[in-house]
Amino acid sequence: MEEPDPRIVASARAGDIVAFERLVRTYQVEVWRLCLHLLRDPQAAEDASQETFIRVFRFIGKFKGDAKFTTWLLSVARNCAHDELRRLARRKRLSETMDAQPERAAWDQTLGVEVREALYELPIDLREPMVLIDIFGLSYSEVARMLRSPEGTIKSRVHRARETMLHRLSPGREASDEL
Amino acid sequence: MSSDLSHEKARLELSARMDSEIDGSTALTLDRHLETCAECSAYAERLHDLRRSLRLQPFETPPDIAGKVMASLADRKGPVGRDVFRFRLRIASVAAAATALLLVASVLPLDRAPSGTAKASEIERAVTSAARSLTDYHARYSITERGWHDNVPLRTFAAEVWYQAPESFRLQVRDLTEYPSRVWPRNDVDLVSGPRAYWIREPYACPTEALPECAAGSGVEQRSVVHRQPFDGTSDAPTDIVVPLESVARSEGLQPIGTATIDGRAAQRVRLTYREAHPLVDALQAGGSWAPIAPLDSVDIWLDSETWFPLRFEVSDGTGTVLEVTATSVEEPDSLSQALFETPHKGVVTDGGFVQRDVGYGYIDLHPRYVAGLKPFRSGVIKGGPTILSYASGMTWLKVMVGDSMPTDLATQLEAEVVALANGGRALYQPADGELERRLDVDGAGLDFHLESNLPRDELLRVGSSLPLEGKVDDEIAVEGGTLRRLAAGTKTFIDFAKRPTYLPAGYRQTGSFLRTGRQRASIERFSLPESDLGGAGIQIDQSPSLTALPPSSEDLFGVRIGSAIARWSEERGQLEWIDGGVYRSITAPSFDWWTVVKIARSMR
Repeated sequence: MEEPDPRIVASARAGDIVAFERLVRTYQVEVWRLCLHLLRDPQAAEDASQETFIRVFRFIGKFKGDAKFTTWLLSVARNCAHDELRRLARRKRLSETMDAQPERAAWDQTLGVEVREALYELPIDLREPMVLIDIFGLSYSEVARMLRSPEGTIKSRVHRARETMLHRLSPGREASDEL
Repeated sequence: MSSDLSHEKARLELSARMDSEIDGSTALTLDRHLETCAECSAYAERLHDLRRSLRLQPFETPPDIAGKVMASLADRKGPVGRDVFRFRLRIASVAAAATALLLVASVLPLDRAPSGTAKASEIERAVTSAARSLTDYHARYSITERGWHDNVPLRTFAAEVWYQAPESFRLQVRDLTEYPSRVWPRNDVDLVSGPRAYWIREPYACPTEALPECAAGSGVEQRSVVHRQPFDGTSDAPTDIVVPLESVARSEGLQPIGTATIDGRAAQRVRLTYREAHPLVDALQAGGSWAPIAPLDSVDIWLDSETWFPLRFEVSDGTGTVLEVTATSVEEPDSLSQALFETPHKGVVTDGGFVQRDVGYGYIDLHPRYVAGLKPFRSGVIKGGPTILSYASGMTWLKVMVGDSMPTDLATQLEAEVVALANGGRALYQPADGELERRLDVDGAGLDFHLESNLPRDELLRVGSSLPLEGKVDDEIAVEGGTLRRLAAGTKTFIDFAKRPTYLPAGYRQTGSFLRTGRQRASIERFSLPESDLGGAGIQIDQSPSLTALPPSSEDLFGVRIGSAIARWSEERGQLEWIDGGVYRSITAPSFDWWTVVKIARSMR
């Protein structure tokens, strides 16, 4: 993800609604993708994405520029996605689907369905670092800060995530546990 | 096998190497392992294939989130956070407007203020004078805050402030709240702003409304600024808690409402809105997370009748008190230790680039001949940038930036007021805006001066007229597709399509007028306050016969009748637009509520 022009962030912090809307339009797809990978439900991802930008609107004054804007934005999105997960779990709606079966209908047309399903079968604690590192290109230290975990934990989790996915995508998966 | 790595460890490191997260010696060991291990080599290729698959997977078209977000923000009518104060000034809410009406009704009329109550002008003069003479200050405060979070309805704090004129400041806030559990972040804040450096340590936490579930995501962050230029607005000290120079002495809306005794001290009680008082209210909240306050919430301040220190202030939102701050001890020590203002240079460190040194009298004397009685303070240069001179007395200061190429940007050209200086020159003046103090741009041939100060406007203009050059202002400004021609104040230029407002909010006056020629003819008029226009946006009226229909908009807008036309109001932009007599007219006033803007529109003749 490319960093925004610092002047746009500064303008948004100073109250320029046009600058803020530019930030939303620039990053709405990336935020939605992260929420989708964490929530596995397009509607829930849309809700969490909207909430992400509303929180960014409220708290952009807190963003002091000492971290990358995109990392901060993804941290907010990740928090919103987790809140949405908890909300859905509390309501007992979709909870079994969330835990066991990915949302299939939206993706059956796509070529990457197997990869996506394998990704969505991962438990959240493995899926989350993998998405942030493999898809969004964050460093271990950035993910560690975001997830409040040691870098060593991130390293081993992303490795376990990759091993699990390779195993699931392996052609001889049923026949053997060997990779 | 020729290496000492297990397959399992090799695959862990292969994964890390793909992420460029491997050290040199491990990489060498890994390479030795791969030379003899075909399985792990194949694994490395599969890892890369997997990443490629993840990155290249196709997606359905994502929804238009931006439109819904912007509409949702427009719909929000809840309390407004200080974090977004300037933003919200631009979209002042209807809810806040209703609160303001309640507050206005509750204010005592001035002629009924109890005897002994000082006049606003007397208080302004006294506070200005106190700010000049103060040298050292130390105080402790107790803070009670309501409404931060549903699960934590009441929080209490102890704060301590040390100040040494003109720009040494230390703040310590300690959170005394009993939270429901230990996962809640404590709102402890430390800030030190010394003459050359600045440091703040504050909690880093999830958004308040996401607590306590995401409280695991909290910690402490530190930031420092080194080589700080004098009175740097981006790392300044919140000194209004010491003497409320900006919030009280420069305010347009100060209302004296009586006298009182606070802890044995005689005090004057005054009332402002948070919009005006936020330099004081925010002073103890310079970092951390606090309950939201709306721009039009009411702030009552009790000022010591002798020293003019704020002894107490309360913020009310129309339904009750949301913040109470009381000074539990105040003293003026003979001299505070310099060690109090030493900054630790921890956390993320930013270099301000200022090199302090004496600025000589080279081929031209850069010093203004009149500096309002202030004494020379720090001087020096910004690396590769302008020379800086500063002057101070107590809390009052003046900064002079001089460079050979500091052209005034278009926004300043448009928003600033052209002022005639006593030396025959002209300059561009801007009031304080809540972040920066009053500014004066004096541009000469080959030498530009930028002045900033918390002196009153008249004094700053006197300083400007004592500079060693006569300032020039461009009256023709090239813009895309045409030219903006500045019309002199008082010129009876007849613009056939333009109307003028006969009503403006108290204190506002015309500070700029432009005629746009070229592809799109338009009249642009600017109005602002003379001393402090917090939010900095002022009021702008645009009129153009070249636009005969309102531009399409995806915002949530509502309609208001202006004469025979239906105008549309955008809360996001703080803008009212309508077509009247075949002419597009708009009023942009982001720090006002819609009914004030409608009142201006209906007064246009």
